[in-house]
Amino acid sequence: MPYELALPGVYKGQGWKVKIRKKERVEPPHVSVIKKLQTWRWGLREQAFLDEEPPGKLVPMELIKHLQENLEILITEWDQKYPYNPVNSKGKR
Amino acid sequence: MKTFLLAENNKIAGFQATLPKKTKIVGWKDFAQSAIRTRDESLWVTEGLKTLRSVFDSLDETFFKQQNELRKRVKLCLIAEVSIEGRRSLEALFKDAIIISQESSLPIEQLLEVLNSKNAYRYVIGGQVDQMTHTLTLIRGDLNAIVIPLSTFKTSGDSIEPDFTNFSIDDYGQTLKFGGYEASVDAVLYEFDPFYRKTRKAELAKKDKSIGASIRRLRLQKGLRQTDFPEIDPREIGRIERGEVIPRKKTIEKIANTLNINSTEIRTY
Repeated sequence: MPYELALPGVYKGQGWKVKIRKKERVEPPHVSVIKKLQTWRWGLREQAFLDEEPPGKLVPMELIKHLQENLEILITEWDQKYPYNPVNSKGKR
Repeated sequence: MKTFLLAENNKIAGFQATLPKKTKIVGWKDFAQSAIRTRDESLWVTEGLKTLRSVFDSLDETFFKQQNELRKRVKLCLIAEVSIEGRRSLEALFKDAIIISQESSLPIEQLLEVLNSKNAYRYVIGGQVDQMTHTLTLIRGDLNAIVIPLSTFKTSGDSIEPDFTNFSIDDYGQTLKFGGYEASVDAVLYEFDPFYRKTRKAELAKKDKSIGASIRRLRLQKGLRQTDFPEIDPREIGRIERGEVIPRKKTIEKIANTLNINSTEIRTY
């Protein structure tokens, strides 16, 4: 199954989703934070948003904190799906 | 292009409560008059065959006598299973007739959000898997179609295979689903759609605030080539524009000289 991180009820209710899909633009490793028409790529190595658009400040701080708290799980899920491009391949962890 | 939702007259109030505010909802009784009266290009979205049947049952000959006008500017997006004969009639009558099966369409409220978005080309509103040609035809939010080979959806590292008999679209047209296998629309379009790739790259380049990006924008604006900078190797200009090297002050001054601009102003472009 695609991986979807369980989110606190308030964010789920607002339509937020955090996914690692099977086919992504693979480098660098990231999760997709999705809300309605917008998607943010949050880097698993950098622990920061990878793109200037859409602005990262639109994502609630509590949600980013939730990503950081679940970092190990997200890294494990990414590595399982993309074993040829693991998160720790560049020694940045 | 103006987008309208064509609905059963008794369902208009229900739709108004749930759909994006800018969506204009028109009952089937008013379709003929509204479609002909709208002078701009218009797109009419409707779900299921019931509403469309009501429209056609109500039309008189006057409407068909104006079909040339319809073909100039009226588009239809129908979410329904339609026979080949029905498809042909609709394609002949409208400027464009986009027909999407209910199983592989976005939910109507998401579809209208995409169609009303200024970057509709980034999203997918419908699609169809063809097992004979082993392809997936996707309809983008700007109503253009693109064909993708199924071979691109490879089994992932955790051994999940795509189930091509179970195709759907999710996340406001940003995710393709094949059973338990999900693919990012951005990744697929970036790989197979030159228009998408070019437009996305141009958008990113516009927002790039690096000195290399400013030099590139200025050079193109002035109609110069990378070979037009005396004393600087064109390969060096390329490396600077791509952000691979940071130019020295002296190099920036030489570039500014050719661009006929003060070196301190380059970054403002």
